[in-house]
Amino acid sequence: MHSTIKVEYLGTVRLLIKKKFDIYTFTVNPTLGLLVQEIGGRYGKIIGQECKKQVFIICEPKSDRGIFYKLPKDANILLKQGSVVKILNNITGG
Amino acid sequence: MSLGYCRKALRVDLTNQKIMTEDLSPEFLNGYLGGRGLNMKRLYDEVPPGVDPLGPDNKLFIGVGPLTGTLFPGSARVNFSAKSPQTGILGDSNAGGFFGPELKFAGFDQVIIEGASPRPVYLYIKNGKAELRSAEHLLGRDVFATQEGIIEELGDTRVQVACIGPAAENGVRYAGVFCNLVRAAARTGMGTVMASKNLKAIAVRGTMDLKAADPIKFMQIINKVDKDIASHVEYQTRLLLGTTKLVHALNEAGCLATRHFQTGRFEDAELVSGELLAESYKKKSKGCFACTIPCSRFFEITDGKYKGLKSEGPEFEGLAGFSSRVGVSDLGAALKGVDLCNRYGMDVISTSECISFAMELFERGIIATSDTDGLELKWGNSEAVLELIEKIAYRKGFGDVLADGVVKAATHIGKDSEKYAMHVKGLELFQADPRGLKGYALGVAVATRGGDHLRSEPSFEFYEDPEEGIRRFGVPEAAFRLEYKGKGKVVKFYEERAALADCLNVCKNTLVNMEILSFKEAAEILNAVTGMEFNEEMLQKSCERILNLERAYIIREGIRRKDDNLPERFLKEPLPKECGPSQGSIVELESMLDEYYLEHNWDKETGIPLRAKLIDLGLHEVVKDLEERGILSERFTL
Ligand code: SF4
Repeated sequence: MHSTIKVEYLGTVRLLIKKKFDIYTFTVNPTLGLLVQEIGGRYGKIIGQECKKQVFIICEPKSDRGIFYKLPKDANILLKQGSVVKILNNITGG
Repeated sequence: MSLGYCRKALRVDLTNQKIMTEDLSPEFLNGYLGGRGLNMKRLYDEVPPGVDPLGPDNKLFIGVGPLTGTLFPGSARVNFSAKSPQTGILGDSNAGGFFGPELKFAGFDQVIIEGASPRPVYLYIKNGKAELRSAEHLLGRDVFATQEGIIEELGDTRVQVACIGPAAENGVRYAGVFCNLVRAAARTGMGTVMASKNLKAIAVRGTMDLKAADPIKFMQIINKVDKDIASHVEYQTRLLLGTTKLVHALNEAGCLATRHFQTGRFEDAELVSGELLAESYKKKSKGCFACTIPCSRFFEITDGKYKGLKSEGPEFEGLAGFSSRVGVSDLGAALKGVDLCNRYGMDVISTSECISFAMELFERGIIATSDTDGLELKWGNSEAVLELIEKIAYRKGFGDVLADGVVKAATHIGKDSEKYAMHVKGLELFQADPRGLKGYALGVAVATRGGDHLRSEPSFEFYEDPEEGIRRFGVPEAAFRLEYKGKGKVVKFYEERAALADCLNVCKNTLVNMEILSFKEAAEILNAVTGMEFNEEMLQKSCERILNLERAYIIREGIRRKDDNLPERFLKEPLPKECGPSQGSIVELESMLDEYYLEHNWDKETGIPLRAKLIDLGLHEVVKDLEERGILSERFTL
């Protein structure tokens, strides 16, 4: 069984890789940490590092409520098949 | 030229057309540091209660700080302060760009404008000297044309201009002072004060040296600060997106001001996002004087109805103000809205509140086309929004009703519309929904210039790290935006940092939001520049002194705890379901207020600073003044 995760890029990462989304496929349900590793593998170390500074909003299938996560503390969160992960810059003042 | 400071102020008596130079004492500079602090001290001492904000007895203070014009990143800010014609209390606003440093190079830390000129003039300051020149020919010109006209007239492209546009001339109460075309000291109507004095602009040119007391130490600290900025977790984001990063970020958190705060989620956020702006229209980055994070941008619209529009900016507040707040999904229209405000010289926050307020009233049937000169003020009607901006600037028809700010507009309209006016103490609120940001909610409720987020910016509440919450503020909740505990402490901390930034006249993006430069480092750099002997505690206390002085000023004007409040919607109407992580949130303000007053050592019932606190901060004259006015009674002896 494969696990498919849609990653939507917002903020800094989107502007750096010039892409709005990707689909990632795993053989098992991945952790958030593994997903970010995959992104780094696909786009290079600098992007991987930039991802680690961002916020992750995980929307599980059928849920209307995305939950915010951060690395490294949430690296072991398991991503369910069909989840959407948004990568977004931190909210800070402006 | 002495070190760090010029130690000179320019006093301009417009009524008698006299210009004098005054020396600034070391005590004054030591106690109030720079820009905002110097201006606040003058405001308290020279503008007593009862002064008409638009009369000749009000004064306009323009101040820069000890780091202004140095290599310190973003040391570009300049403060404009006066009694506000918009709120009737403390007016203060600052702008970036290049005007502040130029004023310093011209030899002044502060300019005091008093009286009112019998004819329109502009002030020209050059290398320690100043003169008043006729501005008859500039009247009615917009900000861009005014700057162009002055530069042409003076024949020097390096002249920096701070000016007002037609909105100020027409008495719009939230008109700002604009530097470098779009760098706006927009809040609290400082442009309106300038117009009331018949002063169209201030042009500055300076070539005088700035010297540091200890240049080697100074450069060592600058090098460290440069490294801290470049390695900061937010560096790339600020560089690529500036504050426009907040459209998606706040929307995802469910607290982006949408359709006048009826919800915190805008379904078309992507269409008006900073990301789309960067991908579609950005030409290049643009920064202020000495900044290493050029967070702004030049853009040009290359398609659609607004094709050909070129400008600099916008900041998040303008972008969201003319998109999500009014339900507009057209990026071009939002950029046009910001551009119009810049040209007419109006505050984007207040303008967008007044318009979105009117839209909500229209949608609810409280007002109709018969009130709005035929304008269909439906959500998303961008043409009506743009037309209304012009009507406000020229006080035409329904625009005249909105030109005095949302409080007066609500009074004029009646029909219980006050409850839809999104302001605190008469100052319109920003583009984030306070229900989803409890620390910000407290910050805007207590801000000394009215409903304003920049007086504190307590962004620690986004950390979401309970251990950091405990380490820095004693409770884990402090690090979470939807929690209440610890927010009094957090807001006070950020108020002090914001005061530090405004007194050193350094950008808040770095000093407050990125928390570059600790108080200890700030004291070190201040000493390296000025040769003074500050330490961490002294500097922190100076910031506290300025905050307490401001509080005393607004207390003297009649402000009390009951005024440290929020619009009813935020206290009673939960954020709707689509707001995801923020759904169901309201603001429970009272417990946060209790904690906040306690932190400040202010009376919990009234919000008046305690005598002991004021004395501890060296504000003896304030104590005497408040006592003589019967404001500080025996009850406040503790
Ligand atoms: S960060 Fe932006 S606003 Fe601040 S000084 Fe730099 S360019 Fe100006």
